[in-house]
Amino acid sequence: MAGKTNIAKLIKGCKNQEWSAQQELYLLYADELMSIAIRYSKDLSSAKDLVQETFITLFKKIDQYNEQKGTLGAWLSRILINHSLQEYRKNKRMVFTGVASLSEEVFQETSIIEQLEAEDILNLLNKLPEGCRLIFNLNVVEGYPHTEISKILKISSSTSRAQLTRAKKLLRALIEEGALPQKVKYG
Amino acid sequence: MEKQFKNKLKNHKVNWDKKELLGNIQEELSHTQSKPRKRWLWLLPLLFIGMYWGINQLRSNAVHEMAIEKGQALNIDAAKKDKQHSTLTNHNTTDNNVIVNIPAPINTPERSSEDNFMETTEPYQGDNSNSLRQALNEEALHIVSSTSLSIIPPEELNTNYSNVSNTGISNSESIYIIQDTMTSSINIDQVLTERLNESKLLISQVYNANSTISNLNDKQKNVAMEQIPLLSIPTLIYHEEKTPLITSPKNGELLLAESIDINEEKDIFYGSYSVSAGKPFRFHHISSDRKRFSKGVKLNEEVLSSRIHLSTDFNFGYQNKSGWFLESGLGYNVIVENFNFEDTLSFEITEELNEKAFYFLDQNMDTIFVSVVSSIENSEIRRVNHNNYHTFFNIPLTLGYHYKIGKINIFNSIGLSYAFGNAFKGRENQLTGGDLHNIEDDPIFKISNRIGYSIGLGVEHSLSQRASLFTKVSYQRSPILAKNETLQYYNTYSLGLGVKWSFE
Repeated sequence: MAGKTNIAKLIKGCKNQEWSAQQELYLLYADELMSIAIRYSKDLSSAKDLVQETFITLFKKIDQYNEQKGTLGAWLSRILINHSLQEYRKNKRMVFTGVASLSEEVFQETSIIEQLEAEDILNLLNKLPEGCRLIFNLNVVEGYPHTEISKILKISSSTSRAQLTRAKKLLRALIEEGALPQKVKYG
Repeated sequence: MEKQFKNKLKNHKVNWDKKELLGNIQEELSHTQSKPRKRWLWLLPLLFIGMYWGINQLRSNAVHEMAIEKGQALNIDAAKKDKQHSTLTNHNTTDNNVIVNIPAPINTPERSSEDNFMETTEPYQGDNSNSLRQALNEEALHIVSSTSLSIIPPEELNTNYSNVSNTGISNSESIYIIQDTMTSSINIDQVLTERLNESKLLISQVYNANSTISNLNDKQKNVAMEQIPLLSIPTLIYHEEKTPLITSPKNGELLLAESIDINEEKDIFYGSYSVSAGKPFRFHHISSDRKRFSKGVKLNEEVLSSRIHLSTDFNFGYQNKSGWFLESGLGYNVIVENFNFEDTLSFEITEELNEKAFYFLDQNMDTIFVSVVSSIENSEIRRVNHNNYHTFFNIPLTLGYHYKIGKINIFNSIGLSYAFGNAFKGRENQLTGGDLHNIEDDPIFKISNRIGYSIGLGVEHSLSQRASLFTKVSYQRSPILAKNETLQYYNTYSLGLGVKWSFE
């Protein structure tokens, strides 16, 4: 990863709308963003669109970036997630369905999960309902607390918790069944 | 499980060709950056000046044709007049009529309409006299011929002209003044003493010549029936065609080549009606102690877009000789905004989960079972898209100035307006922030500052002596509207079209 000074220089270049700086910044963060984008997209093509939108927003609004508030990487990932949420809001009617029979039994899945690769996990996540998947990603992978998720998605914290529980349950069920979906190659 | 999922996903690298997106991003960025910023607005004045120029050119051709027709009509009328009106010495009689149109003498009494022309069958040949020159006040004789006419070259003015109208360019209007050093005899059958109206004089050349001219109008009491010499004055030639009619100066006194407008400017009262349409830009002002509304205002900015500002105005005004004008009247304005709002409706579904229950012991050590209640929130998105209308009346007070650049009549103006009768019909969102809510019964806007102002630049085109058509581009700032203690106003760039009617 490039040093702090170099990134500051690139940001300055981007503020001056220098294409060379924009290009360099893109190449620096594109992979990292793609690995996030793929979790919020159904396929690689949608993920690419998401990455593209993220960088366009970045270059247009680079003046608003305040390094005191966080790293550029964190800001970029937040832009990407916001874009992803916008897409959900625009195109989907997001319904968080009821939570049925939550089982608290201990699930002995550790060994199976250890054998799973990231792509398997992505395929499993894609099997989840959209609302569940979104909350799982936000909470488990990105580390957003439920209070923040509830603000982002305009839902109550309890709904967020319930959906996460449901997501976990469904994932366990999928793993237990051994019915991993046919592998989709990302990239 | 979560930890393992997180680690695996966080470390996951996607194999993809990241360079392929670069082209798309560059294209998108360049498209955004090259977006024009309403620069076309500044081209509007040039466009309308150009249009005005074109219209004026067409119109001047029409005026020329009308002048010829008028000359023909006057010839017919003149033929019916009493021959006793003749004042010129007759050396050569001609059948061809020439109408000589001279300006009113400044030291003569007002002439009645029937004095507008006189008839003569005699040519005139003059000695020296200052009278006509004084009468002409260095203006020109205006000769119109329905058949043909020539401007007489100075070297030929010493000879008799038995038939001026047969010697030159056909279907033209000309003006000439015979110089005092000339001697000539010109046969003129009819003399029109009507002042030139809406004609332009071109000073073509100045030279000395020996010439005299008799008084053309026996009804001009102070110069009746005598021959009048002309002092050395400019030879004025008027011709609608661009080619100069006299090209060789005599005695080397070549002078000006400029346009003189002989229209008589006078004070006028007028009424006007205009309509205009423009693009409004909305601005907000939030005082420092109302910052809590900032978020709501920002959210509103995202869902509201200003569309059009339409206005119609009746005005009455006064314009003085020098071109200054002051006008006032009544205007009606409509500002249309589009409200395009993606509304997220959330509702909770509560359901009881029968399979599980909590229990606890109360103070009596009784066991109390409580079933698990799960609250589920559903979200639904709907789009709200409709127009808001701000309407208000205003009383403008406008000061402006008319001036001419060549044939173009341009005016600029600056004014204040007092607004009243404001009304709002539509929807706005709450300004307190948080979720956007569609509010239909929100308190209407009130006018906080009733004074707006405007500046304008336009061109005017005369349709007749009284009526004219005008168009103008203007910048207008609306009065300030207040809602929930935030202020907003609109800057509008508009294009207007109107008619103006002058009163005597």
